[in-house]
Amino acid sequence: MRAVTILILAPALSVMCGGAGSPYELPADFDWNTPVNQVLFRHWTKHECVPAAMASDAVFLRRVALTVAGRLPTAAEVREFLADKRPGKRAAAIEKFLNSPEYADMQAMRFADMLRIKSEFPINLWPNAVQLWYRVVRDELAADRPLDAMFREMLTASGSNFRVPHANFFRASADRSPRGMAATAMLTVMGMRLERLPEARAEKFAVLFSRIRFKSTHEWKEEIVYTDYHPAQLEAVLPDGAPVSVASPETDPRRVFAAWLTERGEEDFCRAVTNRVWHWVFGRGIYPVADDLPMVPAGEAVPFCPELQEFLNAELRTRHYSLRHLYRVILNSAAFQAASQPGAEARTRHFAAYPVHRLEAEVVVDALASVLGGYDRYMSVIPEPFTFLPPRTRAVTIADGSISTGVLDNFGRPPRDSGTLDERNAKSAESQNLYLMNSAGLSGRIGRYCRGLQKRYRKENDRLNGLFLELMSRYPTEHERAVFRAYQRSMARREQVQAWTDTVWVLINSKEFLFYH
Amino acid sequence: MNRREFLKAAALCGAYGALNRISGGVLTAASAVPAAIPAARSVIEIWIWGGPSHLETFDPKPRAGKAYNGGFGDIATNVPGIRISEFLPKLARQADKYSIIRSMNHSTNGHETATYLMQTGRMPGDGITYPAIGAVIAMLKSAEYKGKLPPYIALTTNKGRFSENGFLSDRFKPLATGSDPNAAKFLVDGFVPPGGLSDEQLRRRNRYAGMLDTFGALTGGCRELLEFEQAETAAKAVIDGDDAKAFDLNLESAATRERYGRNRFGQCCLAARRLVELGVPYITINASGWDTHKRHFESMRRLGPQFDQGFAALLEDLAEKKLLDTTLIWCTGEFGRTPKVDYGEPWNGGRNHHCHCFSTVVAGGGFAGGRVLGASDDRGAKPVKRPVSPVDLLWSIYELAGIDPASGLPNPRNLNLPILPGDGARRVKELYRRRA
Repeated sequence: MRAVTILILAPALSVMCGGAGSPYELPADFDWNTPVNQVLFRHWTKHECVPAAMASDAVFLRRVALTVAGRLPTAAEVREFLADKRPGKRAAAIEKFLNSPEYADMQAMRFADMLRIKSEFPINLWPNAVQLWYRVVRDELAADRPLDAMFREMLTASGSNFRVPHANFFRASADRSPRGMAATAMLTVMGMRLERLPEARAEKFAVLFSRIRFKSTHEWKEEIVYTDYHPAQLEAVLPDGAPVSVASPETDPRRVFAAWLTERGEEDFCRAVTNRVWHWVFGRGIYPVADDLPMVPAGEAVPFCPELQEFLNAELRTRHYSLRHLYRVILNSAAFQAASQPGAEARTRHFAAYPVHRLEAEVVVDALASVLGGYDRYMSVIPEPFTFLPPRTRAVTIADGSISTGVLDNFGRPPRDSGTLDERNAKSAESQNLYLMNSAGLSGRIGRYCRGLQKRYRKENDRLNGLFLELMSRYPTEHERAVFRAYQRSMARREQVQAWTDTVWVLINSKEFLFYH
Repeated sequence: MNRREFLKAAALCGAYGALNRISGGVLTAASAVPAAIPAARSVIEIWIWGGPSHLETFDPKPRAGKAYNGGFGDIATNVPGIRISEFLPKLARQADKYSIIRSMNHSTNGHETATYLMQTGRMPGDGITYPAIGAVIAMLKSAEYKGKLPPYIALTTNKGRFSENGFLSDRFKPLATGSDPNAAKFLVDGFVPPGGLSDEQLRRRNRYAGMLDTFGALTGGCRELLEFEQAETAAKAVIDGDDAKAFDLNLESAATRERYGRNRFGQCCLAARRLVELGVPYITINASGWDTHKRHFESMRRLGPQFDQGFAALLEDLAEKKLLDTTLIWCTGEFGRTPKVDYGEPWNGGRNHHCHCFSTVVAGGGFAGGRVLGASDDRGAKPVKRPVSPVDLLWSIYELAGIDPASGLPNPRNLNLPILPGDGARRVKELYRRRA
């Protein structure tokens, strides 16, 4: 039975993709024996969904480096990986990136978006709290602190927001009414929207956040976050509708919610984490909207594969809420390693082909800077004293959501006002193409890069290889070499440099460069 | 169909243009605008970022004594009875073209919050970030605007995040031009080409791009890639078109450039006029350096003449070109400055933030010239006549731009969010032009 099904599911080399000649696909079969691939296999079989071919090694390496570390692989990394003949090289590459410092940087950026880490309006954490909280979040992600412990601390921390990092969780809610803070907590740890609850339940749930207080100090913008232990009994409900009364004046109502979350609410918590991570990897969730999950799956709001949702929740729960482990499982799955097939809608909907999505603003800017040179100088004149980040700072590592540039905003860097995933705008816009096609600054950087390229590679063939490896993480195809040579020949001798600058211009304006594919 | 359902339907159709025609763009019967006054086609906002002193601009207090006026006086204007600060002699000769509101006031002295209030008519804190007036006008006028440049342009920087699109589509985010319009070349990155390539070389490069698009040629389309292609086509239309020439101030005569003043603010005013000629719905000039806590009068000696010359030239030039009737101008800061001068260290003659009373100037596009609305007390500390709130002012700007401020804004959560709160009962209709 199994053999027959496998035959049917033998990866479909897309006709459009030109089969074995494509630089994007590999004529090999997935390892169907891993637990996650068995779940996917059963799902795809059930939906008669033939998975795409495996992504080529070059596509895989670029994809994993960008997804996990937020950077392009270097030319040396690509050469080495393509030359490596060991069967376990993909899993080894995943481990390498998961254990790199850049993993913590990229993950901290995603968490800082979710937690709304920024100095200024409307969050107003001020640089002191931004630096403190960001640093601790990043360190905890680097150390793979169990997520349940991390979020429990955020929900219950008290103290100065300049000294107790996670006390900033409620401090950083734009709306600090009980309902506003309840909505923030629910969005962050359950991936759900308070306004979708029945009105009465939302109101009673917010009661659990009605004792949080903020007290200013002599230090400008410092606030002490604390619970007002009041003798009056509180009557509240938990998100599942179960009534709870907080009778003892020693009980912090926030702890009641935190305890519920890691006991009866555990599935909701796991679902929130797995959906966000899936969204960070694929640009879309297991549910259609990764942080607007329904109380009960219904209608459109259902996971594309309920069994996968359950499987990933269990992986998270049984592996001590390890974020790194969750990434490991997803990155090693056939869903992540399948080629993209932008035309194949149904296949992509079931993640039997990898969904293309645009690189994050910070990743685009860093990718251009890492190859072409010319890192921006990130700074802020509000508040005084001014903030200047060191030269060659990668945009991914900017702690403060208030520090930005026109180019980062142009490519959809999130404002970090609400913490929703859709604050990050992955949509294409004319202003982005105008920047890439027509910017004087970028044009100058391309020129300098090409002059450097000429010095680094004396032979033209090596130079073309180098250019492609650095920008596209792959060697040029035979066709591309021929097109380049023809273009070069069409130019006068004194215009030769322009064949190179034009090539770089064409490549950074291509879909292949700008999209996860 | 109630408003909520309507908004939902409009949002579903992506019908911002339709919304404009059906609801947002049509004034209600309660409108105070005389029928003969056409809606302003463009709005120029001159934002004096940091809070300009009303005493050294449009509400001088020559008899308040040196402790208040620093020894500076007022001058007559070309409108009998209206006197403004001696720092503004050129604007004094244009007073027939603008009106002054001397009783602006609100209750927040923080730059950010006050700016948000002046831009949206709302106080922050309800968890919703409202769009600035520029984004709303850009959206509601996008159906009639045919230009290739974005409908909302900021010269040259944004005011942090306070001039943004809030929950509206990113299409209505301001384009901050960057660069310096007073430089040899006003290099608006992305819009003004780097130069150095001939048209033939550009065409050749585009053909090359088509041949080298390996990924695009091998794969089919999906929503994300189609959106990219649309954006690419639109960008190419801007590059191939002439609209970006609006940024080329070298196309103006040397005399015109001199007339506006060869400094950043003056040339921003000139660029604004060129953008108005193109029909851009909303242009904001963000003038900076006015947060004069220390050595206020020294700053005024530098800022005053530049502001005076640029603004006066803009008014005069627009009037000469018959564009003032269709171009609404408003000029304000987020608040004024404290009437009492602090001569002590470290301020050395400084003024602090003062939200309780300040001045705003309005001109063109349905506003009459040569009038003064409201008045402040002898020291400019509090309004004593006809207080005007940010909402009252914004209401009139929207109304004269042909937009009903009570109509709802499309938003992702389908909430009922009118453009402005309240009913506009106190809008500044005393300043509306009667008949053309």
